[in-house]
Amino acid sequence: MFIIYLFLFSNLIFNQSYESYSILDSIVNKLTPPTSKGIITQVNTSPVKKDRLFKYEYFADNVEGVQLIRYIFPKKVKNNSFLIKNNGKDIWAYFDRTRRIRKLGSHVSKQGLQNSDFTFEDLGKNNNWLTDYKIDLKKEKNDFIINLNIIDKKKSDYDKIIIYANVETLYPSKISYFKKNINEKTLFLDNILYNNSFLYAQTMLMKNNLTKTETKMIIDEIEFDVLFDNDIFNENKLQK
Amino acid sequence: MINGLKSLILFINFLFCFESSGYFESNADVYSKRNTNYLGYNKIRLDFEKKISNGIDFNLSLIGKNNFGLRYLNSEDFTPYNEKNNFHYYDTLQTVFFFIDHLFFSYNKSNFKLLMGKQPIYYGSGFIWNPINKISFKNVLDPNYEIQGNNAFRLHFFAQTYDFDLIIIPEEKGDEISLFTSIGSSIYNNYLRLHVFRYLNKTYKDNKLLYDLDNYLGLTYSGNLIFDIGSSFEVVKKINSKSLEWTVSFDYTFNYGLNIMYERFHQDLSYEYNSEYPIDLIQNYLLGFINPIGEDYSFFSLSYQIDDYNTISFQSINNISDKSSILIPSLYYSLYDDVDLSFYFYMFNGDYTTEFGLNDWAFKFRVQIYF
Repeated sequence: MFIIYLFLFSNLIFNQSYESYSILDSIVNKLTPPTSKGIITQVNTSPVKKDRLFKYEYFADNVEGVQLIRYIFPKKVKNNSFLIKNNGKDIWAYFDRTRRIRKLGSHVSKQGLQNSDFTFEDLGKNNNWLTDYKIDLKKEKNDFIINLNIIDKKKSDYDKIIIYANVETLYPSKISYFKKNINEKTLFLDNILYNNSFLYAQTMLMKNNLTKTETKMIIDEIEFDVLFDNDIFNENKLQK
Repeated sequence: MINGLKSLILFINFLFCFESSGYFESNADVYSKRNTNYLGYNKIRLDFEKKISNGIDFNLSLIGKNNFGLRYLNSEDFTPYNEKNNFHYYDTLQTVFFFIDHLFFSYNKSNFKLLMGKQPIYYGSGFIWNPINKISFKNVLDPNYEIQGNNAFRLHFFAQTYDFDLIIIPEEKGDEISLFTSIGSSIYNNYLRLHVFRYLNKTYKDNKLLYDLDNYLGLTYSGNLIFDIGSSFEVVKKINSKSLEWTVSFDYTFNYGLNIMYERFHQDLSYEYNSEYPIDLIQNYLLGFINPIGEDYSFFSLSYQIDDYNTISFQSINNISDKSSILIPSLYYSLYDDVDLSFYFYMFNGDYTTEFGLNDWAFKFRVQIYF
């Protein structure tokens, strides 16, 4: 009898953890669809300085773990590009004024993109959420609340991540990032729209709770299921 | 008169069918040696790009520049002083001049890219010094500044895991070409590139211009050797010679925006600095056949981005061979989205026979307006 209870209990635990994993996997996939391209407006806001506005073209192949960002505005940075490979660990920069292509050290992956509150790592596919964190799933009204607690602190910058995702769509509305138990920054995903059965947040706002700065990414144009040329994500082709 | 006007209208019409961008730059330098002098320039750069058909692009860049202030320079103003030979060389900066910096077309077809004409060519992993790159030299005091285009034929082949590059440069000698080939690939976030090239070396010796077609083998690397520290190196060996040139650099950015960088460079010039540089070496340096003049250098940089608008930095360049150095504190200020101001102060250390002891101090102010 004890063995039967033990079997049922372990089965229940396994099912719960499997459910948590599969829900998180769905969230990761919804946040980063296989391929996409678009035009994004980036607004950096600071409490003491005037807003800065940038506009860039964005190309992503999340199956291969690569993203390409090419700035359109302002003119000073026009055609400057960043190629992000291996989910943010391998970054190449192209500076149009000097026509130079340079590989940046992986320490740059934790820096903000064009001084924003989005790091290069944030732009990649967060597969490490599934492998480097202990997943704890709760359901509250219309949201799943997923607590991710780091297993090995060396593996990620954030000790804890809390994701609030809609129960029906599994698309997140809020993601809080913690370092040493301090909520360093929070991402708000608003204006959630459909495009060819793909869900996307038209407005993403990253609030840095320490510096009180904010970065808003507004999707002006987006296209999914894009067939890219073989060499678009080649560092030597960054020069336009 | 009417024909001239027609030509002008046609030219303007020709330019306006292009996608255009550019910048205006005004630069003023003040330096102190025995006296305090000033010189500067106003510069306009116009870049035009036209997509002619699918895969074919045409590029044109024009530069107009006018110099002001000191325009008559003698060798002591820009090369180490050579007392024994009483060497003098004079140069005059033109008041106004225009030139074509880039004039090339590119053709993209499947995995190939072909470029022909006067084009920007830049490669190498070092921040200031690129011994692998015999085509374009950076300004040691301003390594981020644009580099002039080169007349070349370039063919690039891109495969899934590697790329191959071929550059052919017609030489001024008229009966020789320099040929550069390289193949590069990424291995676990580390990028390696193997270079094989032949280059027409020019040397000025005993009032004669000598040419040597030399073969080289080189390797460049960039990646993260330890932890997340950005690391890169370049090494070049002249075949059938002891000559070896190399650069090693490391950089790291802390989470709060402080960036540190160190670079070390070595080249073999077969001389020993003994209170002054040999006269032949100065001549070759003046003619641009060697760059830089010393055998060993180090560079250290500390920069901190205060916010979106302000960056301060401290840089130090040391010529280890003649024991001279420069310390450069600077401030970069972005006045508006497309308007930048830069302020540099140069503190020179060394006597007049050394590379960085030419002046006592200098100050640079630069404004750049992009359009």
